[in-house]
Formats: sequence, C-alpha cells, structure tokens
Amino acid sequence: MRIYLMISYCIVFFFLMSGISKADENTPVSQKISKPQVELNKFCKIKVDILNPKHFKDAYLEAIEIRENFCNPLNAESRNAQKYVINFYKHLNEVISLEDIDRIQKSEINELDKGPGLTAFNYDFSEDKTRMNIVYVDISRDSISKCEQKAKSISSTMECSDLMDEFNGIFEIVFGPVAIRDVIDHYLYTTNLGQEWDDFIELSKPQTIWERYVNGRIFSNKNSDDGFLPPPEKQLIFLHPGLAFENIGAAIDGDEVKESFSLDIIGVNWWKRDKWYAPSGISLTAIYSDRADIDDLGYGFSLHFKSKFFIGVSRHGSENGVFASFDLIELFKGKLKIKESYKAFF
Amino acid sequence: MAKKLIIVPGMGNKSAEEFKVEVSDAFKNAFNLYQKYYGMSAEDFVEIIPFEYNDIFDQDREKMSNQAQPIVDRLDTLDSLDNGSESLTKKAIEEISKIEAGINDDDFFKTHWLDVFFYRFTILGEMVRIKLSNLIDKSILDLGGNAQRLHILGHSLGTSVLHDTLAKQYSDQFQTSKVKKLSVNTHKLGSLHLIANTSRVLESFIKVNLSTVKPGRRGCVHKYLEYRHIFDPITWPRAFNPSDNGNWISSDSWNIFKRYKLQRLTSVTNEHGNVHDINHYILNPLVHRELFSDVFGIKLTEDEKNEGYENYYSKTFGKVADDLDESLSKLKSFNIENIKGLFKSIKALKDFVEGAGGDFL
Repeated sequence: MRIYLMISYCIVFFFLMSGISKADENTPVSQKISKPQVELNKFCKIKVDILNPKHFKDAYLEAIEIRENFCNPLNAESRNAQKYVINFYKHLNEVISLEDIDRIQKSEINELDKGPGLTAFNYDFSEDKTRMNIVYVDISRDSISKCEQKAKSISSTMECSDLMDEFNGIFEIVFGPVAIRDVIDHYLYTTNLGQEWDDFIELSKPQTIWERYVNGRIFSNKNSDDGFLPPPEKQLIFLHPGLAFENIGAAIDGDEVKESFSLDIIGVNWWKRDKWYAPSGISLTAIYSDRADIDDLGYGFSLHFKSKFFIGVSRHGSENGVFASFDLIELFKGKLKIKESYKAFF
Repeated sequence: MAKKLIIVPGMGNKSAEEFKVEVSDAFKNAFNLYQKYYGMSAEDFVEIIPFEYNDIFDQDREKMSNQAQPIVDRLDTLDSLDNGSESLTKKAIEEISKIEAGINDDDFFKTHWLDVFFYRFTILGEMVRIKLSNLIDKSILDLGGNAQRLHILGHSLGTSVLHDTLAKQYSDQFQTSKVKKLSVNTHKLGSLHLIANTSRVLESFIKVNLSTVKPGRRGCVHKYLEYRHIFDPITWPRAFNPSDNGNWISSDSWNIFKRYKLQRLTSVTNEHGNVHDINHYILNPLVHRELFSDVFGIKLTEDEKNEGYENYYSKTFGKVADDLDESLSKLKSFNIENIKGLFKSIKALKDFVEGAGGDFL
C-alpha cells in the first residue's frame, strides 16, 4: 500500500511542479520564419517582360523606371509605389477621355483611403460592346468609340480590347510592387502557421474518430472570420482506449502483472511539451484485466507523457494497482522480455 | 508573363500528381475536339499546380489505425466482462477499437466519406485551408504580385475547401490589423471555376452568399463560373443558387458584364453514367470553352465552336442518360438538403455507376 501511495504522491508532485495548467511558453516548438526581405529580393529578381508596345511606348519606359527605382534598395522613397499607380492611368489619355481617366483615378483614391486598396487593372465589355468598365468604373460611349478608333488607326485588325491588353501588360510592371508587400506578409504568416500545424500533427496525441469530432466542435466555436487559426493548445481526451501493463500486489502469485485494457473516460492533453518528464495530460481512466479474486474493472487516473505514454494508479474494489502504457514498456524492452522489463521498472 | 492554374481535387485518395495527370488528360481530350488544337495540352498555355490535402487525412487515419490494432488483436480476452458497467466498458473498448483499426482500409467509405468528415468536422480542416492559402500566396508571389494571372479550379469537395480558404484569405474592407488579409481589389484572382460545387452543403463558419468569394468589385475573383450537371446528384443538396437582386453582386456584374455564370450540363458521355467525374465535365464544351477563354486566352471562332460541339455530341449516350435519370428519381423523394443527403446522393450515383460496370473513384 505504501508504495502505491508513494508513487501517487510522486505523480502528483511532478504534475504540480511541471505547471500542467499552462503549456510551455519559453520553448517554441517551431522555428519562426520571418524573411520579408528575402521574398522582396526574389520578387525583384523576376524578369520584367520585354514588351514591344504598339501604342503605349512612353508608358512602358516609365513603368520600367518605376520598377527599377522600387527595386533599388538605396531608394526608400520610391518603395511607396501606390502614388505611381494612380498617376499611371494618365497614359490612357489618347485612348479614353480625360474625364473618364479622372473618374478612374478618383475611384481608386477612394478605394485606397476607405476601401481595401488599389485595384489590379481589369476591363470588361458588354456583349454588344455598348458598355465598358475599367476597374469597375463605367466608361463613356465616347471613350469606347475613341478607343476603337485609336486601335483601328494602328492596325485594321486591332480592337480596343487589344489596346487594353497592351496597357494591362505594362500596368502590371508598376502594380506588382504595390501588391507584393501584403502578399509577402501573408505568405510568411501562412508558412509559419503551416509549420505550427505540422508540429501539431507530429506531436499531438493520436485521437479516435469521436475525439476528433468533439475537439472539432470545440475548435469550430472559435472559428471566427478573423483569418486562419493556429492549432489548439490542448486536446480533449474522450473514451480513448489503450493497452497497459498493470501491477496489483494483492493478486495471487503470478497474476500481479497483467496486460490490461484501459479506457480514458475523460481528460485533457497539452501537446506542446518539450521535456519528457513533464506530464502532457491527465485523465480519468477505467482499466480492466482478468484476475482471480480481484475485481476485473478498476478506476483511477493517468498522467500522460509526450502525448503518447501514460502511467497511473487504479483501484479495483479494495485493492490498489499501478499501470503503465504498453508502448512505454516497449521503450524499456531492450534485451529483456516485456514482463521482466516491467518488473524491473517497478 | 505566364499564367497559373491551381487545381483542387475532390474526395478520394488520388495524389497531387495523379490528379494533375487526370486534369491534363481531360483537357487533351477537349482540345482533340478541334482540328486546330488537336494534340495540344493545357500546359502549352498555363502552368498547372495541383493541391493535395488528403495526405493529411491519410496520415491521421494511419495513426488512428496503428494505435487501435494491438487492442483489437487482444479483444477476445475481454469476454469475462459481462455485467453492468463492466460490459459497457467492454463494449466501448471493443467498438471503438474495431472502428479505429479499420479506419485505414481502402474501401470507398473510408477513402471518400472520411475525407468529408475530416475536412468538415475536425480541426484538420483548418490545416488544409492554411496549406491551400500558402500555395495561393506563393503562386501570386511567383507571378510578381499580379494575382489576376492566377486562376483556380475546384472539383466536388475541393470546391468547399477552395471557398472556405478564399473566404478566410480575402477581405473587402480597409484593414488595420497586424496581419492583413489579401485585398479583394489588389490581389483579385483572374477566375474561379467550381465543378460540382458542394460549398453550400458543407458551409461552416460563413454562409457562402455572404463571403468574399464572388466576382466583381467586392469579390476576390474577377470572374466566377460554376458547372453543374443536371444528373449529378452530388450537386443537388443545398445547391448554391444566388439571385440577381443586387445583394450578392451588382446587376451590372450579373447581367451586363457576365462575371458570374452557371453552366447547366445535360449530355452524358460516360458509358457508365459517371457524370460526377472531372473528365466528364471538362469534355463538355460548355465547360472547356470557358476555361479556354478565361484561363488559356483562346477565343474560338463560331465555326470552331460548331466543330467542337458536333464532335462532342457524337460521343453522347442517350440511353445512359435516360437510365441514370430514372435511377436517381427515387432520390428526389427524400429530403437531401443536408450533409446526410450528400452521402445518400454519393451512394446513389456510385451504385448506378458500379451497376453499369464502371468505377466510381
């Protein structure tokens, strides 16, 4: 009896000392990646398309210059590419009316100040070509005519849409620097989160399908529209079966140590445990093994380690037992047989 | 600058490479309907990037199964438990362990139904979304920040994964938070193609008609196309049917500039009636013409369109269509407007296809 009490006290002592109520905070599991500059360098290495514009020659030269300034690390001021984008619409002046250009620029200033930011260039025609949008701004019929006439003046087979496509290819050179910064930030954010989830898959306690469902319901209650979420710090343990070796000293000779089935009825596991000796979880456990003169079914509690192994104490009627998970014993197997190594452990 | 097409698969245990080959072959078959494009492939026009996520589920299935098998091997020793709480505990250990040990078997239920379960009801769904978002971010970076050169195609369960990911990835508001979402303006994608869309029946944290996954000014894509075969029962439960009332997108986007399209398919070219198969969808001109235009930049002439249609129509099976219609009529008497209905629908089509000698993968 005293040995069981001593083991119980040791378990509780370890439990309290390890601060099981909090996950380890000073030992990050994953390596954080934070290299926006690396990604910016990669962006600046992307070759700008060498275009032979039929109409927007000046626009192309200006776009190249803007891009080169942006990618010059000594030129911090031009890193703010937004103003160049709004101004760049001036190059449509021979294709659509100045009033329409002004309306596009005002719309974009509004989107920058109050909306989700500048718009990547796009255009649409209605099926009958009587309506046209540029970045979702309606373009006048006069401008549509002007655009078609300009296209035809360059080539009889050219259409307004060809001019728009040419402008788009040049606009992308200027727009890329506007778009890239937030994409880099988001990419690093999802890369780091992805690593945290990989760690979770690797290190967390394997769960049954019910546990997956219950934990999923708990997680989904936190699933707001604030973006992507990291993995949960803890896992609810619920009706989790296992295999163990249990020792009941009061059993008849030869029956003390037995293979047993365990069922963690309810518990919790913190999977981000770095130290092997710090318990990762605790659960209320039912444990069964067939012995003469001892109740087959006992109840107790388990401490989990590294989200995989467990040790615990049990009570079968009036008799006490201690148990350890099957795979914990496997660790000590070595050259000894399972039972001998278990006895050696205790 | 090149374009990219991310493809997101549906249920099943195909690897990323296998799905890419399947989609590439489907496009090859489509190109072969047109003499001018005979022998061409999608990779001549765009870089195809497959997204794989069922490896995450497979890894988890294997962990669960490996843990449970040693227990199952020893279950006959539980027989002495036969009263009250003892038998209840025994039952729990037995049943749970048998289910968990069998979870890695490669039958349809395990490979398909579990994919839906894992994605929709477990925390692994969030991991899948983060991985897809990371792939989208990387693709936009590789395109020099020009997200309109990126197009995405999703099939079946992949449409739910795709919708949910984009809904979390994009914002239509001015943002001040430390980690910004992508902007529906600045990082708007070129086009979205949803084949056999299940996003509404599997919606969870946001309703599909309220998310940023829509075309036009306040949406994360410029154009949004959906493809639905009338005999594909997997598209029946809680189909997404937006209306033109200015709530979802503007009237101009809907009526004038056609930034949203729903293509309803009726022809059957699969001899076993597997109308849910992605090959079957892509072969139909109503599907591949949109992809040719929006993604590959191919504008077919009227003569070419007629040529393609004639060649396609010669491959149709009228009797299979009639038999499939009749077989699925029983399904219409059930209430299938929920996830359970989705499984009934999957099973109904599977039974028909396998009864006709085909494989339902």
